[in-house]
Amino acid sequence: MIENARSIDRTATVLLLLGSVFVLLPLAFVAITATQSYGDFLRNNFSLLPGTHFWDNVAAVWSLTDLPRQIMNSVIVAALVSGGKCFLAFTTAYAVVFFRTRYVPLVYAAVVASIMLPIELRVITVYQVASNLALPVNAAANTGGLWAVLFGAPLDLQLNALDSYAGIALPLMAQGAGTLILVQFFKTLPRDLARAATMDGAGPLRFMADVLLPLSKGPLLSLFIYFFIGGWVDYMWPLVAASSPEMQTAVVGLARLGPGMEEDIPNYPLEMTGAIMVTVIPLVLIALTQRRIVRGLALSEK
Amino acid sequence: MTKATRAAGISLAELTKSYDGADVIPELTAELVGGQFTVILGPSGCGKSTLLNMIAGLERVSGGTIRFGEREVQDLEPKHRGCAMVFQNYALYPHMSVFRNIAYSLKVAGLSKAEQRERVGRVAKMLGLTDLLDRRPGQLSGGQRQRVAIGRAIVREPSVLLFDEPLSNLDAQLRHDMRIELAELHRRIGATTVFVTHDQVEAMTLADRILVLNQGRIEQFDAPREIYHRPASVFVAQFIGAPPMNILSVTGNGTGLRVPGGPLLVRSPRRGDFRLGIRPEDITLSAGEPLPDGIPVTPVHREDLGSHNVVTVRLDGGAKLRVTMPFGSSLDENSDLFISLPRHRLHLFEPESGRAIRNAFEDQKARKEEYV
Amino acid sequence: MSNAFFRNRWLPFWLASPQLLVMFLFFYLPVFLAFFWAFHLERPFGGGSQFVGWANFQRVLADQEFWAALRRTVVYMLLASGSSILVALILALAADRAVRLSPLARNLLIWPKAVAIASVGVIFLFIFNPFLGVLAPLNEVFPGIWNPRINPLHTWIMIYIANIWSAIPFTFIILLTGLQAIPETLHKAAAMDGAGPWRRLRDIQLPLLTPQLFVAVVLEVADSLSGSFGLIDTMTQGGPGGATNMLVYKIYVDGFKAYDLSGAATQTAMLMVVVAGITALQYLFLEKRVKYER
Repeated sequence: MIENARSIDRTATVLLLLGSVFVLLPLAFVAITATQSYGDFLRNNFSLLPGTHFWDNVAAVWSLTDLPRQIMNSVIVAALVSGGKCFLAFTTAYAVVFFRTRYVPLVYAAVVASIMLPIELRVITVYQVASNLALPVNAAANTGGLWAVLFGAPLDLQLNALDSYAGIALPLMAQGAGTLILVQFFKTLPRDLARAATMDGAGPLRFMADVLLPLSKGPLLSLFIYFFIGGWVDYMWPLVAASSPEMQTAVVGLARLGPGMEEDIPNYPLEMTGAIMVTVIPLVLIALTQRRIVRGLALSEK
Repeated sequence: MTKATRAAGISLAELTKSYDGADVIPELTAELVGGQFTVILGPSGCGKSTLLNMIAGLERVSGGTIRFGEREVQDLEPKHRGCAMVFQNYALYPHMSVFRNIAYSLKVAGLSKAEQRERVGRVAKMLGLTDLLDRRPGQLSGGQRQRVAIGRAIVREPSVLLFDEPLSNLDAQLRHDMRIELAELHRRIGATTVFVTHDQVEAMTLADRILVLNQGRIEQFDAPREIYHRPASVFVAQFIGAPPMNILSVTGNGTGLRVPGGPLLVRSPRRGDFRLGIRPEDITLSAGEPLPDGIPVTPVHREDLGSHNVVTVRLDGGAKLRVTMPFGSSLDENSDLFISLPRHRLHLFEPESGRAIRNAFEDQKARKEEYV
Repeated sequence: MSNAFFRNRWLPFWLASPQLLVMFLFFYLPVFLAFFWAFHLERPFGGGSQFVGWANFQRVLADQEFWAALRRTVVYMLLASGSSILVALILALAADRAVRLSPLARNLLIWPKAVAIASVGVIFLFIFNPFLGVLAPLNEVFPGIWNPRINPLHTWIMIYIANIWSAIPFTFIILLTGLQAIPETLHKAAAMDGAGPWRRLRDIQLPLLTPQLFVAVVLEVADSLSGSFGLIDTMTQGGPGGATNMLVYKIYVDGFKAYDLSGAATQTAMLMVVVAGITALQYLFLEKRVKYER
């Protein structure tokens, strides 16, 4: 740019090259291993030469493991989590930014505070709630033994959400980052938008649907992709929320693949093939929509 | 002026700049006199900022030499050139106080704390910033920020001071005040000053000499009056002056020049195509009886600007002219209108290149004496 | 300067209510329950709870393994976030320069975001497998020079590398965005003031990057903590010999394998206090220093 910066540019290039290699090398090892048969792998151990058995391995994973079904689960869960987060964030952010009502800042604080404690820290008690969603209703009804006095026995509703898509997805939605990002975005919109819509005779809900929603398409799409990938790669909660392999997500399934295989030396070609199958959807998404995601994220810390 | 002689001049010789094969500055040679205030004037994209950045050392030259006095500097880094710059959007460091902003170059140069304080204090006093030294740029008004940016530039006492459209972000009143302050400042410090702008008023009022740049080429490099009264090309003629000079495409048949299909405008033995220029304020507009050499016109539009009126009139054949009339002059627009074009105020340009043909009319030498 | 315009009393509440319900059920209620169980014991054979005061805390705090896990967790949060931010910062500074590799690298460096931390664990466990992985040839020449299954130092190195790999994208994006928001003219002005590239890095870029560095630190500290579970569960299960047993993993084992609800809840409550305290400290002491008007 300015002075004779060729040596600095060369250093920058070398650093970027190292960084790119650091990122790509593990993926390359995975890809190479996935092309080898178990036999080759046992003979040659780790190899840098690609083999020819990739599709055999894919077919084997497809027929021998639960991964196909689990990838389907991941698509459903990630879409639910992402769609849910976007919806919740949109209506909340709208309420927070466009209403002058007094309790609104409190709502915002309550939502954003959730960013502080990720679900990995609350997993024990989230599990407890998910295993019976009626827990707070029971607790309220039984305060002071009231229900028992009236009906003879304490209220004991049971609503187990574990091992269901909703049970996996709902707790993952309880995170306020999307609200934070959309609030930042709404604040950048022209001030007189709501006034103009009111002059045109649109009420608050109409304004939300006819003006705000179309304006937010870009950021919402970025958020959706970002949260979709986030939902896909979540591990701890889907691991405890789904006990049966049929309901587990792909990431959990992959982590559980190793121990399920009976050989003394793990069938790493199959495991790495599985890793590719589990990762390919979010990876393609991220490689193709990189700019959009970056732009969406950049909104968050303005 | 002793200070002016101390400041080194800037010579640009066969300077070229190209990006990816596209020539921004094809080849430029100019001599900027030491201690003078030179304004580089041109429309956006004409290469004026590139030229300034090359003088500053912020962009490399593709070819040619830049000399400060006797020193060849085109390969030196900015810090070794001894010049300072004021940027369009101030470019103040937002995380530093006003004091630290101004002192930064001194700190980088390794001056002692005491010396920094001394020199910053002097500059701050000169610019009226003394009470603001502890503030951050974010807490300052536009005019104050501009002053800090200037203070940062002059604190090093540079022999060359560069300005990159420094007033374009200010409102009209402030711009006027800063213009006067800048002229005053230049008189006081006497550094060789290069000032880039697209604003002709800034150029006319500040410059010792104006370098008019168009597509990387020098159209004219002269004193403001010369630029205004003897434009070297159609481009210069139309770029300077508000409203700009009228330019008509005319043809000479040996007896006079006329717009195709229009009346005779001026007697001349020239033959062929030309472009004829005249400033709106040099045209006389009259109603009723035709003047000698009066040319009949039809009024089209009239703008009242308070101090003067701008009347647009149409010649037979369709060409339009703008005429400025002083405040108070009245005109009965219902009677016949005539204009007359004073011979010695006419400018003639070549049709293709647009270059001026000097002394195109035999009695034009008188013109120069008139304004000098 | 606000967009707030509508004045309806209840409408904003109804608009926010789905979010609030989800937050109540899966955030505030679990947080409350963690503290509730920290002071209660489950009655055996189902059926209710019994208040036990500080007994759970006494039990947990007397446990050497808890302290060891807590220490490992705190050290890990510091080192893991520090190392990944440092790597991402260097890469962001390099990518900020307009070199030819930059656009491609900017895309590539985001890719790890697509790989789940648990999958990262699976992949790096294979890559660093002492007999089948990349370093296997080394082990054949010098037997035992690399064995993360036995040597805790090797295990930690493996975990940190996997964490850096996984954490690069997010921090990289944040820092690069911040660097690119620094106006070009500030570089020019500093160059005119005589500052060379390194001096500009120190005096202009890094100070102006502090808001983004702050965000990166806050998020990366939290991320390293939650990400630690995926890595530990897939790579070491706390081994070798409990050397990598960190608090999040320990709570999971205590709660879901040993069915010690109160013990796990007590540790959860304490971890929450620690994390909330760290975050609050960061905001109290750091945030004020990094705010300025551009």
